[in-house]
Amino acid sequence: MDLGFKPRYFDPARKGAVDPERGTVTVGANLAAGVPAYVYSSPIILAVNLARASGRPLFVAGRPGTGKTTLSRNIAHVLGWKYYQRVVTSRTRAKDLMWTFDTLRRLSDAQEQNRQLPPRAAYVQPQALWWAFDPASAATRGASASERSQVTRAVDPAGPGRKSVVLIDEIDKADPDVPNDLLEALDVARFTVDELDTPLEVRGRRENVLVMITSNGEREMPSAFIRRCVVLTLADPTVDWLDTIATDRFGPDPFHREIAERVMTLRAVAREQNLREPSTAEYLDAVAASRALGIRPRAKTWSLVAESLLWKREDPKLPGTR
Amino acid sequence: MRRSQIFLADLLRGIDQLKIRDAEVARSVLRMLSLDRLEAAPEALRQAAAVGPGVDRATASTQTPEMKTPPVQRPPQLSSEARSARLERRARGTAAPPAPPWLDSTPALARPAGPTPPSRLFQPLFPRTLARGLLSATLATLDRDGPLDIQACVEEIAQLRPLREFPREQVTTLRLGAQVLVDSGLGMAPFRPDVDDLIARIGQLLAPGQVSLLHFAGTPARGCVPHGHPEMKPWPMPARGTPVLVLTDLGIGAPAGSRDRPAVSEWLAFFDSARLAGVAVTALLPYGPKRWPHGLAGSVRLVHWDHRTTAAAIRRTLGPLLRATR
Repeated sequence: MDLGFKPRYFDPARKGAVDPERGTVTVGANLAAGVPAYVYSSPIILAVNLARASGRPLFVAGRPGTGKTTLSRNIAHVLGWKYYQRVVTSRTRAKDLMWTFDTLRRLSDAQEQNRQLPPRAAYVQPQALWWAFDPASAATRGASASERSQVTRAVDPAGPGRKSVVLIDEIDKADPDVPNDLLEALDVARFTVDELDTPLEVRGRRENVLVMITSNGEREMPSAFIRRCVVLTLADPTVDWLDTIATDRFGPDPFHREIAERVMTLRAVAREQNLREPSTAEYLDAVAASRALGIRPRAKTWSLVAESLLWKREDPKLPGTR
Repeated sequence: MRRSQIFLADLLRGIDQLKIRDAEVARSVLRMLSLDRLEAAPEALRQAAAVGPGVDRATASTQTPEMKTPPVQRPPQLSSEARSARLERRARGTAAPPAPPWLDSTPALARPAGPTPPSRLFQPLFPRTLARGLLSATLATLDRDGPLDIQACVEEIAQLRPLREFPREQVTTLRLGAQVLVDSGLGMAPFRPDVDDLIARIGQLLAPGQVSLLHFAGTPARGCVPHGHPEMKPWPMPARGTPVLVLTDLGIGAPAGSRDRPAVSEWLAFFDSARLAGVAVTALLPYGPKRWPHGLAGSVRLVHWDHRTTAAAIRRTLGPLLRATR
């Protein structure tokens, strides 16, 4: 497949099946490892290569259900790198992506009589960005050489490895200050853990980390933040795309396409009415349920499947049904 | 080093290392690095494309885009007479032509049966994808409703002070609902679809029963008509802390001298009465700050109801209290 560039840093074709007609590469699922399948188009491959070449975070925008989260997991799989995922909520602070500090446990320890309080490092818990930037100092919780005997080693949740993909999922849900607070850490792959007895500067190598940040576009990101990222906007799913993913997961079956067509119709209606659109994951749920229960899209009971797994409204009346 | 040069370095590195040889791919690279609007980018691209076997890379990379930017082609300057003539031609062109004689004898088209479908061209003042975030920022209130404030607990206990109550973290919440006051004056007529759209968005954001919707003309202090009721009543002051959102143009768009164009003092009296009752009123205005009445701008909570408004800007306007308590 001629991409128009050399995919020097990221080439899913090495692990997947190339479809020259559609210009896509499908990397199959590895469900045991929790890796879903993904269909790569040329712009996605370019964006990942560009993020790695420039050492900048990859900001992935797109409407809900376009496969942003799935993409990051699959990229880590293709690269063979460790994978950290942090879903952002309205309460998430930038620091929570780097480390947390267990104040309550320290207070509890301080109440015990005749007890020497361990160093503050004992109460520090490294989070995704720390593990990704510097797993060695994360494992010691940032303790100095003299403190290490008093501090339990932390366990890397992603296992051993030097290189990693970090997903910061749905950053648009966060407080507007969070992207700005992350600017420096992401720009220079460096931050300071200031809750230790001796503050520690955590330094990462940008070539060892691919930070991916997703947004559903519910909030505009600060321009200073966007300027520091490579921006990839995922297109809405197509019938072909959904069909390919279902075929990879379940094997070929013509009714995948039928369900995909119905999902696309529901997405269009939901978009028109400004409602939630059924996602790729929900499409796969519908396919799995239909296969398991033997309910085909033309069956009378299909609307019940669609209402429960795709439409999901309080008023579940499916568009186009009576 | 200027920031744009840093990003151009990324562009050059990307193009060089990925051996990009396709113009469309190169344009995608510009978009992904947010450089597509940079004036100098095409020149940088040409330079980058020239970097390859046989080209001195060091020389190419030191030629900054600024140095190579071609002069901007400006349209030829017109004399003042020519400009006047052009303006006259435009003015003549925009005048309504006389009605043709057949118009009076032609029957009007029949009205379509049923309600007119909403225009697909309608673009609400708050873009639909961003409306949720913008409204959350506008209607959120602070409440000590969050998780246990461990830090505050620790400080008290560490100083051997008894905890009389569990301190909780202050968080923004929408649980107090909102009162929405809709200006039905003449000046708001052009924004009726935006009002309807925004009310629908608020209905999706807040639970049913949490929103009370009232209409008024002039200011709410003159009286309000609850949605779906025929009679005007005095403005019902909501419970203390409940956010009040006023969708209004403050009479800016109403004809001069109209009752729908109240004096600034009347608006100030309304905002003051709400403030004294502990009710935070925010007005969403479809006109920009330059047109806001001088006596109101800066002294009351006004937000520009516009597609360029961001949640961060709303928080800056409304949220000194929010920021101070964080």
